[in-house]
Amino acid sequence: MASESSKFAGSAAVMAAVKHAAKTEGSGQLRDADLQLSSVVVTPEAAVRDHWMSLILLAGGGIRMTLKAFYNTNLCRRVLADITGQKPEEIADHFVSDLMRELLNRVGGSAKRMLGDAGLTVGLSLPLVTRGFDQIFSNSTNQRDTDFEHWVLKTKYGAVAMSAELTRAPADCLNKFEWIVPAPKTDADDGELDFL
Amino acid sequence: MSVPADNIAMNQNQILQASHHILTLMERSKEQLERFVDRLPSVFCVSSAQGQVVKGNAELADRFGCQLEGLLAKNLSSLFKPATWTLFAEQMRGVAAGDTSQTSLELPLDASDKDVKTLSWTLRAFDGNTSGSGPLVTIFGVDVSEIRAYERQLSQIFSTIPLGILRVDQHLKVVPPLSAYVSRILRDDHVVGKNLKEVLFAPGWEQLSSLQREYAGNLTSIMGFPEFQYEMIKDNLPRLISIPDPSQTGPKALRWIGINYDPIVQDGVIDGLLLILEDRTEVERMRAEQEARQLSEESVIRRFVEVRRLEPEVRRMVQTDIRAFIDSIGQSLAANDLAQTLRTLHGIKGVSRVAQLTQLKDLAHGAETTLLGLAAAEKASWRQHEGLIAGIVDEWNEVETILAALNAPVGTHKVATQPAPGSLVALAHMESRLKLTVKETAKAVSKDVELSCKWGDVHLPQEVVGKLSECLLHILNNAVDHGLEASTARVSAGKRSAGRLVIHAVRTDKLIEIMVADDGHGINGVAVARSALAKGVITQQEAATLSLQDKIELIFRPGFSTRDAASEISGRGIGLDAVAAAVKSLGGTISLATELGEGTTFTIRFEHGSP
Repeated sequence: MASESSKFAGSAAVMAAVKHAAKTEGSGQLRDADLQLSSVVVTPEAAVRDHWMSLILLAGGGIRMTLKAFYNTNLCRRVLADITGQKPEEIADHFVSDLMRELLNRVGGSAKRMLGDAGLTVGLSLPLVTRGFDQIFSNSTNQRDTDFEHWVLKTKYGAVAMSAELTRAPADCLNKFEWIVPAPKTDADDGELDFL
Repeated sequence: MSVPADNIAMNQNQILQASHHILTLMERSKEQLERFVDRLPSVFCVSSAQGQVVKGNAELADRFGCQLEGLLAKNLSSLFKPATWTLFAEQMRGVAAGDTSQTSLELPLDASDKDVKTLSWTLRAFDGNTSGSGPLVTIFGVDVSEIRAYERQLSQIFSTIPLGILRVDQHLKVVPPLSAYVSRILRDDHVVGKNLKEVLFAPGWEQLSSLQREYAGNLTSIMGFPEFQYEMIKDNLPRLISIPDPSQTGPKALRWIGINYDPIVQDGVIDGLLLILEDRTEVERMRAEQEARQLSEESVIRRFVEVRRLEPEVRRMVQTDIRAFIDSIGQSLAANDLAQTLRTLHGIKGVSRVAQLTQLKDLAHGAETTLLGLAAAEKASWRQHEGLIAGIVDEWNEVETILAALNAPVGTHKVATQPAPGSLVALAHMESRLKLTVKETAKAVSKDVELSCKWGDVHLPQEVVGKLSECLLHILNNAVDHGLEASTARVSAGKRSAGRLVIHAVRTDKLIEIMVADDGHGINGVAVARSALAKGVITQQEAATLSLQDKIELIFRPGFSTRDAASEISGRGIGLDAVAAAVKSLGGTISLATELGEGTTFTIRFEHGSP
């Protein structure tokens, strides 16, 4: 039985599942990533959180959720340098974007699986990489049935900002949805880097 | 009909693959565009209205001294000095607020570790669909510091170059820019907008030739026409003009400006002119000095040659006569006697003409012209032209020095002794000089004249002969110039083609008579009276009372001349009155007899012992 504090309902349940996925997959993908809820008030210009942005879309059962990760290549190169044993400046550009695509793919896939287990079936798009600046075009959606969450994944080389934008149509589609945080695995070996 | 579940899955997989392919393409093409912006050689930036950078390129990162990915943390304000930023921020807020959709300004960037660069900025409202964000501003900055530096260098050259460079438009109005020297050379600080004629040609307009005035005045007529129109007029445009300079006197009172023209051709037609003005004052002054020097050297040589080739007789005449005139002119000056001075000048002119001493003749002629040209009001102060007479005396002294040297026997420098005053001289001594004069005069007026003399062994004192020879010269000159007809007229009147002049001196018991006769057309007393009336020599009432002989003798009156234009030979109106005065001063009388078509005879009479 899950405790009351690990049980979520409605939009908060979806958000909690996504953040849970981000924390678990992020620690694997970015090494030692620690999830922290952002206390930053995101103004329009501050919405451009970093030079690069990777994103993925989850949609189904009345919800549409855009997951984004803002990053700079310096951080990614150093993470990759630790993994491959190369020097940061030797890491090719496409490895950096592949790293972040894979992060979003894993977080999205993990969230999709957990939401599906809880009864909410969603589809997952392909991950996309673009410039952080393009975020300014996302802020124009109707915000009435939309929820936002911001957090950062802290690594030893800096932070990767993430956001989730959840839109419900119809507005009451999540009224009966609940999600409980799964118990932590005792033997966590899914941090293996197998995409390379 | 139902579709098998694995078919649906396969379909979805295909859709996914297709959209994956499109997304990959889009992502690549967008990344290419992004790189293109990243590498723009100018500053590109999107910022919030407060200067917070949300997007920038490598050039901007370079200004901040950071990496491209580090730009998001930056604010544009740190690129400027506070005062400059205030200006820039104001423009940004204006654009962000939608006051203007675009604005441009030039401001320097003050990146601390670099040279200050001036950029030309263009600010534009960001036109993406960003209703969810605050207003954003797109900023372009092009480095114009090198262009501006080059412009400054050019303008420094333009402002220090000692040439007046200016342009005029189709209406000949001066248009900017122009070189700083223009205002100096034209002595006008506000040339722009004025007409070329007003600023350049007007001050020296009177000095231009009529052709130059015509072309300079009609420069607008070539505007709007092909360039060959300029080629047609260019040779008649003033290239060197002189402008009176009131701040200077003497030869410096003129400023010289050299002008170069170039048509400005646009779309095949003349649209304006480029003028390059050059101060030629010094050059012209030096040229004038050089010319004067050369002239003075030439005059020394010419003087010597002229004196050298004088026949011994003429040389003696020159020495005695001009010496006497020079002495006389000194007295006239001292006595402030203009009339006497004029007579003496006329004498000097006559003798020097006969002797062909051109410089002395020219100086005397020039002085005479100046003094005769004086208006009534100026006559009182005629002595201010004394310098002209001093010039004559100087010239004479030069001539006299040469004469003395030539007269001196080889090995000595002693001046030849002159006849003692009062000693008698034969009138026949004058003959060669008179013949020379008549020959010269006849040549000058293109007439054929013969002079024959009978002197009758008459002797008179040296000084009388000197004055008398002047009188005879005047009469002979008048006869050649006015009395004798041209050959063709003579032949058609049934006379010999060569005009005849006769001098006949006789000595009777009581008198010495010297007659000068010509076989010319005689003097028309009526015409003389009409002319005298017209010249104001006599009044209407006087004219009515005069006999024919009286009318004829009007030619002895001062101020009379039947020629309008003064010539060097006669016709100034002082010739015959000077003769009359000279004869009178010698104690003699002069009369004349004339018959129309037959000729004129002047008779000078002296009583024995009277001169």
